[in-house]
Amino acid sequence: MKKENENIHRLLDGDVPAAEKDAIIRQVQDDPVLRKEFDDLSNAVELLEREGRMHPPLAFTASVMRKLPRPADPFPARLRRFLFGGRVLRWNMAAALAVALLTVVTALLMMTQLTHITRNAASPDFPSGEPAAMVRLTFVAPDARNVAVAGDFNKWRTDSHVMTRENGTWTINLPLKPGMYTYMFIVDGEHWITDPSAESYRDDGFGYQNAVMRVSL
Amino acid sequence: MHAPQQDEKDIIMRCRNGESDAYAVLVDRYRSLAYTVACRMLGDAETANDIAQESFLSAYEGLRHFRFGARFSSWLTSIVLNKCRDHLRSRRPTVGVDEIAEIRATGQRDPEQEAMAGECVDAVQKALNSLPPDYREAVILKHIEELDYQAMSEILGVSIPALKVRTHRGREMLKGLLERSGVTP
Repeated sequence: MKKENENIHRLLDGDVPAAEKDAIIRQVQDDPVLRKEFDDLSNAVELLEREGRMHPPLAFTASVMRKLPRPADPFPARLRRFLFGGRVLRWNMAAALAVALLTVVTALLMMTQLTHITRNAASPDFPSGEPAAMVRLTFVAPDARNVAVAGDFNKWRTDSHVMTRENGTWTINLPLKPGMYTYMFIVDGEHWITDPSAESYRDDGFGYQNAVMRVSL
Repeated sequence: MHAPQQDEKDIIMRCRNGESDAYAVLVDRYRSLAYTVACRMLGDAETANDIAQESFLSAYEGLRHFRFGARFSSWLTSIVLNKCRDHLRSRRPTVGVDEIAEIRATGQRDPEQEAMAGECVDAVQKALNSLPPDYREAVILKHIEELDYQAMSEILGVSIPALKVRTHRGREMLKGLLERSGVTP
C-alpha cells in the first residue's frame, strides 16, 4: 500500500496526530487521485456506519432467559418437590392389566403367607411349620379335681395335656396334624374314661374303648 | 474499574451464585450488539437471531471463567464472532457483484426475502458478505461497533498492526464492490 493511501486510511481510522493531520488533509485535497480515493472510501464507510445498530426481536431477552440452565435447587426444596409435587400418571390398558394381575397375585401370596403364619402361631407343637388344625376337646365332670387327656398324639402320657375347668366342664385345645387319633380322659389321675361324645370308638385290646377323632384342615 | 464494569461484576457474581434472573440485565444491555454483529457477519436475520441467543447462552455457561479485568461486551463479541465463523464455514462464502448491482438497480427488495432476512438484506450487506470473514469482522467492529484498535485486538486476539491491515484492505474491497455494483459513484 502506498504511503499516501496509508495516510487516507489513518484519517478514516481517526489515527492521525493533530500535528500531522492538516498536512495530510492538504495533501489529499491537492491531489485529485488521492481526493477521489478518499471520497470513495468515505462514502463506503458512511454507508456502513449509517446502518448502525440493529434491533433483535422483542422476545429476544425472554427467549434467552427461558433457555438458561436451571440452577440446582437445595436439597430441602428438591425433597419437598419430590414428596408434595404434583405428578401426571400416563397409562395404557396393557400396563393397567399388568398392574391388576400383579396386585391379585401379590394379594393371593400374602393371604397364603398369612394363613401359614396364623397356623404356625396357633401350633407351637409344630415349629417346622407343618399345617395343623386346632381341636377343642370338652368333657363334663363337675366333681373331678383334675382331668387330663392322653392319646396317640402325646404317646399316651398322662401328665402332658392337662385340661382346664370351666364351670364343671373341662376343655383343652390341641394343635394336631391331619389324621386319625385315639385318646382317653384321665380323671383325678387314676380313672380312664372314654369320651362320651367321640365321633367313633375303637377297642384298645384291654377291654376298653378308645375314643377316635379325625382331624382335617 | 468503570461504573458499568463494577455493575457488571456484581451481576456476574450473582449469576455465578445461582441468581440466573440477574442475567436478564446483561442480555437486555448487549442484545443489540450481539444481534448486529451476527447480522452483519451472516447477512441473515433469522440465523443471526439464533447465533446471538446461542452466544448469550454460551457466555452464561462460561461465566465462571470470565476474567473481571475484561469487558463483558468484548468477551461476548468474541463469542458471537467465533460462532459466526463456525457457521460461515458451512455455507456459501460470497455473493456475486451482479447480485449486488441487481438489488441497487431495482431499488426494492424481494418481499419474501425481506420477510425472511429482514433488515440484513441490503446492498451494503451483500457487499459485506463478499468480504473474507477476517476483513468483514474487522470492518464491522471498526465502523459499525465503532471500536478502537485496542478493543478490537482484545476481542479478536490479533495484533493491532495486523488489524489495521485487515481493516484497510476490507475498506478497499468494500469500496470496490459498492462501486462495481453502482451503489457508490
